[in-house]
Amino acid sequence: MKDSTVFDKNPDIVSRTIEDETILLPVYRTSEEINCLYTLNESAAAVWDLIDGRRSLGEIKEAMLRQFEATPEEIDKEMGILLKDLTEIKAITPVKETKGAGRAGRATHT
Amino acid sequence: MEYKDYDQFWQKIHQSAREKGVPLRVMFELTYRCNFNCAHCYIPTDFRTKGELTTQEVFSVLDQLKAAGCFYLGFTGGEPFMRADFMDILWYAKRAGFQVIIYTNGSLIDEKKAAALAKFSPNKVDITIPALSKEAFERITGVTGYWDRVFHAIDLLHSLGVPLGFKTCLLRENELEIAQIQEFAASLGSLYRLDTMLSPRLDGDPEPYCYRGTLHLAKSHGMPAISNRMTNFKCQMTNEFQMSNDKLKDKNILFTCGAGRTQAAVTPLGELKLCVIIDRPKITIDTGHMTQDTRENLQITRNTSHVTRNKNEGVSLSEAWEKLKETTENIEAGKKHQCPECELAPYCKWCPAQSWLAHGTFTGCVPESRAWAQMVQESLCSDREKMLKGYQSKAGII
Repeated sequence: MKDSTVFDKNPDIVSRTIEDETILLPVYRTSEEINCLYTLNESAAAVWDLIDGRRSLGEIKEAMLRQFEATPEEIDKEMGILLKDLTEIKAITPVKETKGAGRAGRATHT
Repeated sequence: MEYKDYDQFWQKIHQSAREKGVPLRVMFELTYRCNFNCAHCYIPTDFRTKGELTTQEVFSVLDQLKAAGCFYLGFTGGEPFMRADFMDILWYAKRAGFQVIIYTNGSLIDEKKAAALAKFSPNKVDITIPALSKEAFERITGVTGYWDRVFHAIDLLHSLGVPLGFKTCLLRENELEIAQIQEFAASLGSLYRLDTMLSPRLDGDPEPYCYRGTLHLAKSHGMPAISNRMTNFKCQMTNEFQMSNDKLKDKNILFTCGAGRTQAAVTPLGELKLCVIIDRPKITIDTGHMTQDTRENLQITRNTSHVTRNKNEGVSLSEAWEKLKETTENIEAGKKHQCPECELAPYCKWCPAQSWLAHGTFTGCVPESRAWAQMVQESLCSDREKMLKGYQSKAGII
């Protein structure tokens, strides 16, 4: 995934933060149809909040570095795993590439 | 990201909500208007002209409920489909991440709305079935021309795979049909519950009690499931009441249902209260999104009702909830509260709301609840005797 990639959320998946846990809920399913829930920890929830169809991954990483005490490598690694998971469950999709956004152009191999 | 079992996750959230006092479950009365005129309804007819929140005000309340930690929302009325914006409200709630149950009489659900509900995927559409026969249905609802619409709506929703639940209030007019209604619900694979306790109206009028049916009569006219159900009910209630009685010994816990602890209700006028039945205290929620025009219009509407609201009146929902919690915590059961010592407690459906409407206090014994509990006790004793005789007969003892 490149830092220039911009992701957007699937509008059919909504998030709720309840009792310090952020969960992802599919809009078109009833509670009876949901057997397991996807929950996000604090940093994953912060990434989820930052994904808006406009910010590039580079910009999101910079925001995460400001918000959390972690090295760029740690952020890279954690975000890579998270984005892969979110993409797999179709909660997010890449929508475009930007030029010179955040740490633009620096590809991360996650 | 973690994958968690749905039920385990929610058990944890419920436990946490109980400990912290989060309004996890809220009943949102969107309107007092209704196209039915059921004589046993707890909402006085004159409430129908009280007015209601605008769409934007409802959205504001939903935003605030979300922020306060509410997760389960029941939309009710009156009849919620009387509001032209009901589907918009449903979608707003869904997009905000609420789990939604809709309580309706079903009569206004046509093909278009049924398809919209199928797409919406509520947790449940809970439809009140007053009776299966057209004659009883129309006598109970006080209107004609809706019987076939309700059952058509049920057919539509069922065929579209919308989760359904059914409810009946036990009345003189329908007590001979209860077994059939139960069978009808079972034939659709839906949950069914029989509401055996009517409430006085919110203005204290006890007239609804006049329409109550009797367990004995319903049973003697072919209600096969009631014996087992009541046995299960008894076991369940015994356990629950054992817990309740233990709790009630702690004088500070009266609302064992969760009202004012994890549950609340919002009125059509945007007031937070303990439950739909308890109409005081009501705390007006500030729905900030109102324009000046809307506020003035609302003021005109509300000046004609019991509720008066000044333009700047109202607090945030979180503040209202804290006040409500404080009120609940300060209500003590006291010495007049007889339930912990009452032998009928395991069979009784008394709750503080019933007492409130009957006496204006939260602790008094309600004769109607007591009479019902006695009926249930007698019914269970009779069932138990028959079962015992059956076993003894099989065993050759008699």
